[in-house]
Amino acid sequence: MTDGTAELQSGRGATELDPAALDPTHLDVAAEGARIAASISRVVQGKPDVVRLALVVLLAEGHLLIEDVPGVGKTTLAKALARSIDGTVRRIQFTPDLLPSDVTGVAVYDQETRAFEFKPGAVFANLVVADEINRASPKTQSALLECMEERQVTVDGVTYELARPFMVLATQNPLEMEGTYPLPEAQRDRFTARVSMGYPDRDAELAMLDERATSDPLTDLTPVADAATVRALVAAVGLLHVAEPLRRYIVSLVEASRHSPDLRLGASPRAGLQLLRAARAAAALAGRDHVLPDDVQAMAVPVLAHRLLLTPDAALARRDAQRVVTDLLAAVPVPRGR
Amino acid sequence: MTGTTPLEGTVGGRTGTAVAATVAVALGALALDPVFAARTWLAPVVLAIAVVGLGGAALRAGVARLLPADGGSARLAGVSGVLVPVVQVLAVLFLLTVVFTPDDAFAGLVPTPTSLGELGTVLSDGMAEIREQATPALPLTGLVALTTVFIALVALAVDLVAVAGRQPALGGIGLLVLYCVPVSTISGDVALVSFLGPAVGFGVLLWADQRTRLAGGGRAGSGAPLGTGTLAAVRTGALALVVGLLLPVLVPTLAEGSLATGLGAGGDGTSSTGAALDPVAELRGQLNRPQPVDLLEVTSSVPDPGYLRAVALDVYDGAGWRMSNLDGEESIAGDGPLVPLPARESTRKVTATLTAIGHDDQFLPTPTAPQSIDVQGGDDAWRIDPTTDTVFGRGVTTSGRTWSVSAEEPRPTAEQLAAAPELGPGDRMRRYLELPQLDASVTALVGQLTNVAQSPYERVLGIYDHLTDRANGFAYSLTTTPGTSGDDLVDFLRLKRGYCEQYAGAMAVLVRAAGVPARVVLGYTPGQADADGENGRTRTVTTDDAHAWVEVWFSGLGWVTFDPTPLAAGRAVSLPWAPRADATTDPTVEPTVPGTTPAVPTGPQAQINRDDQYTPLSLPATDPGSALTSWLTGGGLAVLALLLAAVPWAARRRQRFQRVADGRPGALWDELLSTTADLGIPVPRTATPRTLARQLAELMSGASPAAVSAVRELALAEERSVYGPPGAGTTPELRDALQEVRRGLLRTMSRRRRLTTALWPASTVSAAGEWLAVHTPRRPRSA
Repeated sequence: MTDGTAELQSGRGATELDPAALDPTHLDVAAEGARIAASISRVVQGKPDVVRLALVVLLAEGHLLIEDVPGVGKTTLAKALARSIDGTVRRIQFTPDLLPSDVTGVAVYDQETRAFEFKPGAVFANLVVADEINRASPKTQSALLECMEERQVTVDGVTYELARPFMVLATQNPLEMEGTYPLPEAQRDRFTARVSMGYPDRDAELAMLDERATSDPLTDLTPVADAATVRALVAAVGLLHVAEPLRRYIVSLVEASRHSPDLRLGASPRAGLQLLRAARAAAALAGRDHVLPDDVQAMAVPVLAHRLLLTPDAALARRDAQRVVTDLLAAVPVPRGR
Repeated sequence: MTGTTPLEGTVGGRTGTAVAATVAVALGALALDPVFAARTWLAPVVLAIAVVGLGGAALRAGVARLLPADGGSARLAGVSGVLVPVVQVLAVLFLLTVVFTPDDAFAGLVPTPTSLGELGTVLSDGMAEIREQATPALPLTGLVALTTVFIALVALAVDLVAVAGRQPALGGIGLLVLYCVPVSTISGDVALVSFLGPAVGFGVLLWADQRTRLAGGGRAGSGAPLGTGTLAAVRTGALALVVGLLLPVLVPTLAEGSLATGLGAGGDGTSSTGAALDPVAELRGQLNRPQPVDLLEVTSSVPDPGYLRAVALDVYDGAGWRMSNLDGEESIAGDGPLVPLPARESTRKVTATLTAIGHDDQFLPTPTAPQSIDVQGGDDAWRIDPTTDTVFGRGVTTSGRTWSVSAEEPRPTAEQLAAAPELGPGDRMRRYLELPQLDASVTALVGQLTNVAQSPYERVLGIYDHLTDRANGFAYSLTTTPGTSGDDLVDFLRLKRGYCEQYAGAMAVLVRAAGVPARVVLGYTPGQADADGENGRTRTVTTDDAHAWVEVWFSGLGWVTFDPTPLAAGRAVSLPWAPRADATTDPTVEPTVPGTTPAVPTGPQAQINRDDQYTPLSLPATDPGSALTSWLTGGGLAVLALLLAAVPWAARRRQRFQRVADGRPGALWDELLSTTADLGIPVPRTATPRTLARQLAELMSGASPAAVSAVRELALAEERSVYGPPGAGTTPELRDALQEVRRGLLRTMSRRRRLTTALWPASTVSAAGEWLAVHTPRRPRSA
């Protein structure tokens, strides 16, 4: 053991020592999150888990895939989140004839300046609602690849940075519905989480029938946070303490998915990274300054399930990816670090 | 529900358990089989078990039927809980009356005060018989009665625990008690049936246990199918059997009868435990002679009285001579000669009056072949055993008594002996020929000594001459040289050093091997004539006069005394039919005055030619008897087993104290995890502190709200310490919280589970398993 090593260790320890001290905004993530959640919940009633997950993805700087049958409020959720935040919001209705340039933007020849001028596409916004994303052709879906992962657009060799925060809220109908193109694996892997809306319970549905008769609650929604706040929140979440045993736990989970006999394709390293981010955001929203294994377990199904490819046997046995992830959780022990 | 009410279902289930318990106890009783010499004890015992078990079952069913079906099982349990054991005890009493004292009972069945008194006598006889007999014991009436009472009590206890208490597995303790009987009374190996009987019985109990448990789990009414749990019971039983067989192989035990500890440990004839007399004359002894003590004063009608017999040893088991069981049925007060003598033998009438001075023993020393004995203070308690001609007291000793004996000492002539015929093929005396497999050198020696002999007498003389001829190198020594052959007889015949027990024991074996019935007798030489006595007819017998010699049976003549030990002239008794080969050749045989012991060092034996003796029966044992040894061994093993069984408890306790003393959240959480493991609360390894806390809180929510909040505190502290940022905040004091949770969890458990937890903490086992998993090489995972 040399002195250098000891210094290194103490140095590292110092940076991790007090996240609050490094966060100039001293934001109360939980309180801010609760305000946004309350705002969304005025529109999306009876779905606190879905709303919370949407917030988690926002704070984890990820993208959310909302999947369910038509008419359960997918688009409403996306729009409610967008309206609750005072940022630029763009909505793209994906149709079979949508072109990639409609998404990313296109260079147009300006006759006055006699130069090509870049017309930004729909992705140049803080929040992009990609409605019915699986109705567009795979070519157009792929146009989102670069922007979602790298938060930039490259057109004609020129790279344009996207806004921060940047979040894609895509909705899609389940694959077995008519006239849809399944998302390619690479695209699915870019979504931090997939959420299923599910039908509202009886009371919520009744209340909705009453309210929606006269007005659209979406129109009454006012932003409760601006883009700068969200950026600060994201920064605060990034500083949350993650203990070493938990990082090991995430790696073990991801690794276990690669060895699962039910899976043709396990979780990627990016999946592990996003699981960690989501867990951080969930912990922050719960008002903690550290992540718990409970956070990881709660996030595992929405973050991992949509990325996994079942083997034909498992599919035939009617197992679904969520079930596989649940089984993984029940098999990988939680490390205690002692 | 198909016509059966829950109540009937319960009763049906309990009847099944009762039958299982009955069968189990009956199997367990088989453990006593090797304790008895014959099987006549079995019938009353099995009857008693059946009366207790099946009677109890019938009674419980009857009570259930009498009470209305909706009478509530609580009332039923209350009534049968008190009534059934009382009736069972009465039933056993009736059974004992019918079997043992029907004559005094009313109609041969109902006990009367007289019959109960008689029963008490039978039982106290049984106590005396236990003291008198060694295993295998003769199934005498008193002993069988006592055994029946004992096993009936065990059956009653098992019935109470298994049926009334619904804990069939715990009834196994009763079987353990039964198993302890042969283990503690039989020296040497215990027969397989002693082990298998209780083992199979325990399997039956386990099966019943499984069955009740499953019946309790939602199958009430119909009862569990008969086969349920059988597999588990068989599996558990088989595993236990394997462990039980392997453990003794692996664990070093106290060797019994090994070379080092000595077969010569016995020989004092004193039963220190009082459980069974064991006057074994071992061939290798190490006697430390105490100062001579006056034992008896003998006034004899003849000037040259013979030996005084005390005990005859008629069984040679390869390690030494011992006494077979005493049959205590025949009192000396009866008519007729005590020791019948064949008509042809010439005898000498001897009358003697003996007074015990320091002698205090159960065995009554008498001249050879007593015909009538009159003991001062009553003859009733004195018995004679016909197989060994041993006179002994039942519950009385010789202490302070005077007795007069009229005897007919055999005085055969050499011609009469030479004319004695060979033993007939069906002669009952053939039992005195029984020998274990002898060493080849012994058999060869016998053949060599008797090859020219014609009659039994000549064969006996051949052997006698070999032992008494000093030319053969035999020398007297109280310090026997330990041999290396592992066979004391072979050692003695090779090293030729020993004292009376070695001489007498060896001669008796050789004579038996030569086909002539023989036995070893322990007693006293006639002692020293008192100087002031009338006509020199009064003699004093001291501890130095203790002796062992041989009696040989000649057809038509009876038991004839032979003494191969070189004795001092003053002690030796003249036996005209057995002239010693060394009678005139060796002047250094023995000092004439006992107590003066000049050492004549010849070779390595410094104590050669010392006075001959065997330790008197009444003196404290200088060497622990083999019975005592076996008891000590048994006790030691029991203590060892208890200690071993207490190891998990002690380890767990120490662990808990350490963790609580540590006081950090992690240590306390570890302790909580161990506690849950002890209590059998399943905690998946994927459980986080939070989920576990939630699970435990749910478990305890009804019982203790304080514990619920305590477990939350513990979980929060644990997760903060493991997953929280380092150095954040101070850890609160949580020891009390841990205690609170522990109490709360215990409160949710049944009393039985709590007891199990205390005695056998499961976490130690799982910890050991984890330790093994970590410290053993793992098979590399295939790609």
